[in-house]
Amino acid sequence: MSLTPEQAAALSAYLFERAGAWYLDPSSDAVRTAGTVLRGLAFLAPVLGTAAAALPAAADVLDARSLVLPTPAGPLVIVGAADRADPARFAEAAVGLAVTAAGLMKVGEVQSIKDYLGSGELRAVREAHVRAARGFVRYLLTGAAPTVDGLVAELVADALLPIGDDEVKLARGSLASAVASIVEENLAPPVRAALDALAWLRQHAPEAIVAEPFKVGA
Amino acid sequence: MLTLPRGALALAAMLALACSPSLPPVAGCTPGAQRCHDDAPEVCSASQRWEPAGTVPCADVGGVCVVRGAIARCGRAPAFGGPAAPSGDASAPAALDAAAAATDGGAS
Repeated sequence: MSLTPEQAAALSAYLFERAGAWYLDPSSDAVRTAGTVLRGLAFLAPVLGTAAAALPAAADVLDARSLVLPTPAGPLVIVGAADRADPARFAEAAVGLAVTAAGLMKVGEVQSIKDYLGSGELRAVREAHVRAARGFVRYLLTGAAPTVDGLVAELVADALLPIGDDEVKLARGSLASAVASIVEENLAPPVRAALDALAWLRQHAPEAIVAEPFKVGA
Repeated sequence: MLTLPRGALALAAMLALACSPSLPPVAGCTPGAQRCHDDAPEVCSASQRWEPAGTVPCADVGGVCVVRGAIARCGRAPAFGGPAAPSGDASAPAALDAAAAATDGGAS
């Protein structure tokens, strides 16, 4: 039986809570209002100059892309509409966002931003952890085993900032390790949010796990 | 692809210049090499630093770090009385390059 939308929402909330993040549903009134306001403020372009041009773009981001934003109150997770298209994708996106949020909490928001923007190496490491967790949850819920090439391609395509060749090689090594753990050893990758997702699914939605080695009692 | 506003990029650049990224120390390892360290897989970066291939040790996933076919990963712990798992840095199989194994002491 597939993961239901309610289960996906509950799993996501659990993962975000475990990661120390707070969460806004893009379909919520608050976020829809924010998007409307951002688009509406575009008329201020003559006053605000180039900054105003970013406002509609920011509103579009709320629709299209999932984000983790550092805030004084802790990481804020926004799951984009595309990632909520179906429960399995929602769960997969949530575990990736939880990895990012946990990273923010671990080293602090300012340091995390510096790491991500200032070092392609650290960017590759963080993105590889995200991809490992996402690939694992996708495997759990769909049975599609992750491959190193597939995860690397997704990493390169989805990274917020470009990742250089050396960093892609580093990410490939990290993902080869994760895929070996998952596919050859039948273990979760050593990423906290992936473990949290597996534990939650086994307890609350065991019927949604279709990857044989990870079913309850396997 | 997301386009960052110019102001955000400027702020990011200022932050990046103000402080250093929290990179691990240079270990002199061979780029691409892998090892187990403190029960966790690590990968050697192009800058010859050991970078973690995860966020928790293998014990947390019910396994133990092993190196097989030059790939460090979390693997099943050997059954009691079975062959020892190559879990330590120095006990990694020959596929793990010698340079990486030789630098383990100063890599953490």
